[in-house]
Amino acid sequence: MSKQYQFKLVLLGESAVGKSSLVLRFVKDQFDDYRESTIGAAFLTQTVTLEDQTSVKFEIWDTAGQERYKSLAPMYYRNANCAVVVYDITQSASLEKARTWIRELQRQADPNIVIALCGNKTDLAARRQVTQEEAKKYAEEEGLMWGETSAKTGEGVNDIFTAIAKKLPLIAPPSARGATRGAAGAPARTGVDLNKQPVAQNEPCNC
Amino acid sequence: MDSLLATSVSSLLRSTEELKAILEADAPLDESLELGTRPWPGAISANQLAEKRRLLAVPVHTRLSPACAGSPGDDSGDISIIREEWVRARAREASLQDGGEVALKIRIGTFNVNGKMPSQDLSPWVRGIEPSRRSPADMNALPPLKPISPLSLGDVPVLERHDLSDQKTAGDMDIKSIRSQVSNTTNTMSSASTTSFSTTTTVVANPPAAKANNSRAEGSDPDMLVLGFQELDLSAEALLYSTKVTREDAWCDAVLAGLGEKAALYDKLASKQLVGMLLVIFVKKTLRDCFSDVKFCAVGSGILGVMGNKGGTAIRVSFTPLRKHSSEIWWPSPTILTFVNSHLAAFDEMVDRRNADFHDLSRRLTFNSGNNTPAEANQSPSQLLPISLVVGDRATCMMNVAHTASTTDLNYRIDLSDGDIRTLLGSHLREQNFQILLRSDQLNTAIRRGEAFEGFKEANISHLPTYRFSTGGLVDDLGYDMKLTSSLPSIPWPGSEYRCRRKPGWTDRILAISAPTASVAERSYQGHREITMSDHRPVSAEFEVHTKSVGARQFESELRRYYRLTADMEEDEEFEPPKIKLDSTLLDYGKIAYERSIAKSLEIENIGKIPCAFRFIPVEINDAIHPPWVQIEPMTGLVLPGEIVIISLTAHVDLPTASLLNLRRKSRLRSTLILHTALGKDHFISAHAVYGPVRSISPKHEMLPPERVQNAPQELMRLVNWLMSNATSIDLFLHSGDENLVTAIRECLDTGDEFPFAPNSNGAYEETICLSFGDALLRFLDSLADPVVPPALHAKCIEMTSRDEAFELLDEFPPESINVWISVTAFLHFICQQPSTANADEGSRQRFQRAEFLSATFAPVLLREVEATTPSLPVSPVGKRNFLMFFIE
Repeated sequence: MSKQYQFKLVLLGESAVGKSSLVLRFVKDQFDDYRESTIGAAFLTQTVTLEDQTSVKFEIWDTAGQERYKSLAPMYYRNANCAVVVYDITQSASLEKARTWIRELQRQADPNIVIALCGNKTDLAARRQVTQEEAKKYAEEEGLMWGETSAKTGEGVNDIFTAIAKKLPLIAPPSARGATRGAAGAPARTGVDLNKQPVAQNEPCNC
Repeated sequence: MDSLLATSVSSLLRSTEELKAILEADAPLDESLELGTRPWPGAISANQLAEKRRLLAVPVHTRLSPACAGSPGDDSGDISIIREEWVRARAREASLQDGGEVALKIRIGTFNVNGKMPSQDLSPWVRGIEPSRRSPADMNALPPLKPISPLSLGDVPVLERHDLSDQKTAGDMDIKSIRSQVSNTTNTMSSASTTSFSTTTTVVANPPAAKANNSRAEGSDPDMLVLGFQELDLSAEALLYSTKVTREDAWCDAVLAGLGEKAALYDKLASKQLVGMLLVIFVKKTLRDCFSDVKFCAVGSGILGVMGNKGGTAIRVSFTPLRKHSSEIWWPSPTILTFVNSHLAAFDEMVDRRNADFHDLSRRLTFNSGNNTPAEANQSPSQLLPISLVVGDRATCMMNVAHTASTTDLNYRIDLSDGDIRTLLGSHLREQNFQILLRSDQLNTAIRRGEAFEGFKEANISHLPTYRFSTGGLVDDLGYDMKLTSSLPSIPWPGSEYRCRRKPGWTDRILAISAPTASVAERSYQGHREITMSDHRPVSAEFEVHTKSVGARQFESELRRYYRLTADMEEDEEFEPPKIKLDSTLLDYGKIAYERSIAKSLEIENIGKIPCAFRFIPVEINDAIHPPWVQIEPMTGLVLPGEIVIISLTAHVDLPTASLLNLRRKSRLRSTLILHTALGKDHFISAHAVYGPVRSISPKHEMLPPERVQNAPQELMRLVNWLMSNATSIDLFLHSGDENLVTAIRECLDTGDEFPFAPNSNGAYEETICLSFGDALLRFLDSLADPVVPPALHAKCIEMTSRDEAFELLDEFPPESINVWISVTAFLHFICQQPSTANADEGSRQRFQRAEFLSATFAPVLLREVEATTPSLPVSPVGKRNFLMFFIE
């Protein structure tokens, strides 16, 4: 029988780098040219099926990038199995912001969290300010996954999530819990990897 | 009628699931509601049902799953709760019938009879005289100490005329007609006319719908008379063989005698006795058929925890207004009324035991939920419903009112010294003194701290303590027992004097709790000092329970309609999360200050395809949902696609909040409120405000950075100076000023602007303005970060025995406190010395009384207690007054 996993993923990054667009492309394969900025945190799910028929269900928290809500971010990345930290390749400042997020995650998030650095907006490569080499080098130094995407064209989006989906089951320690969505998220969760603790039904919060 | 009751019982058992089943089955309504055709749904056990009942008394948001930012909890469960609440409220609203409201008037009495047999007329207690009928002067004065014979009519006509003058012509005519009616029909009990007249005005408030046959004259008599007796029989045999009913009969006879000619209107509906505790219910004969489903229980918690000298007896009864044959209006489910008569552990120091007794009783006093229906017969007898929880459960009621009233000798006492209590009671400054006494009342403390009787409400007590009176022997001026008692349990208690006497106390209380959907109004709450046969005085209260009728068919169809509208909210294969739009995500309140409300609203528009249930959640799981300075209403709700719901968010700093905020180092308040849409998003709403300066007597407040502290003495001086120059000729502080003027004055203090008031042509200011300045001064002192006299010095203050000593103690005050103390007391002294119109002797008496009044008003403020530093027994309020008197007399 094929294996099924469930992981909590959080998106972080500066405002307007395209976090919500990335999720919309990944979850619904859609794109919206004019999206309002996220003021809050949206919850979505998407399942990736790997070549060996392993299915990985992502429970995604898409967070607000604005500085004023920064203090709430820990509530969303706590207990996350993976974080996708997004920057805009046309804004070098957004990479700086991404570095800040990564430092915070390394300091405060679950020590086993898988972090992926994601350069978005490759459709605007003409205005590129962040070179692939620079970002890649930083990612290697910090031991992060890295990739470039365009939420607008869809380029690289599935690749990066699939790469995470492949890596997580290998890394996720037995102690790592699934998402905190509780009973509401998934009505039936048969076949969750036995190495993982069962997802606690009705448990509101792992804090 | 029978089918109606069956229906109501079935509705008791009906769960949401069933209603949804009705939705699908399009069977005719009445049949689908018939119990026989609807088996008890296996999914819900009686325990869960009990759980549901308990939950209904608390607000919806507290019943939802625990959740916080990033951890939404059990969204599906929350959706069902929010939806059920919403659907019912909407359906109820949509099917209300015009004019179909019934007010059930219930008179409740409690009386600890101390083992005596009835020997006095009980009419004041069982019939009462509405306080609103007394003149204001009557209300303020202490009731006369001598027993008044209800048969003496000497002063009644005066009262009547006084009252009549206020009436409109129509009322006048009513009264006249009733007067003639009464005088025609009654000649034995002349006191009857008093009651008829005195209650006539309320007839209008009593809708005639349910009582088509009632004459107007009897409309204002209570529909239900519920009387609780304690210590009915103190004999040792009674404890062992509690089957005697002779005393019950004697007391019931006495009650009927007290009702006089009205006795003919009533029937005894039910009674329940356990040793000395007796609970009796009389109902109007005309309404007899409206009451059904009477259930009883009794629990002893006295000797060995089981004997019946202490404990409780309870009766539950269903009230269903009679259906009017000619119309469609009816009451699809009954109002459940529960009455508990309890007698808790005695003695001052047994407060913990009383609290424990309460919890024990609420657990053990259970009603068999009835074996008369097939569905319930399946339940094991152990699955009974706890009493205190019987507060209108949703299952019972499609739209229910349910109501628990507790009539009791609760034995809760006052936590002040015996001397203080007697002094405070004996003084003419009744209003101030009652406030102080009631603040130290053990029951009030227990409710405030959530230790017992949580959620119960009690009307303001304006009658004197009901215990302990002596029949002969040593008494104080008010008749309270002064006898030294020596047989108290030897429990360590600070100061042996407290052990010596039975302190006067409000031991006899009437409390009520009701379902949120119930409309219960308390009309009066009185002690009856004129009934003197026992060491307790009886107490009575009147309630009005309003039941709104709905068109039952209409309700059912609305219910179906709203369930249909909200059917697709759960996740499924093609689930689209709910989508809402907020009209704003930033609420900037600007500058907020103590006791000023700023209201803002937030529009939630559903722009998605499915109904959206929302709730506010805290940032962290154990946090408060909102900061203390913002109030949110409602905290949960549901929006249909395309609809808009408006949430009101009000910034308000009250006294407790102010003391919290005063201790913060920053004046800028920022808070993020999180609005969670079930199965959707967390929406952030920022609330900003700047909290006005914190005022402190001391320029260097130890807890606060200097820039946050405002120089209070300066503002105090502004107020005192204004009052000194403009307001010394009127009786300041006796009456309240105008709220808007007080606000305006405070604003000027904040901004430093001139006061915007001008004197009239005589060069004087209007009295309201002066009174408002007085209010502003008192409240300003009350809102200071610290009391004027540091709490550490309070105990010392009350030890001062002379003016010289008192002035010497000032040396120990912090320098800033001295200045404020001297200015305020000098001002108070000045207004005490104002000449009065009376002669010399009379004048000095008046001055003394004025000083007493001012010290009673200012002592609690200038020597304010700080909650955290309050010792178990507070510093004597009388001592504080005496200390202040040295300065102002």
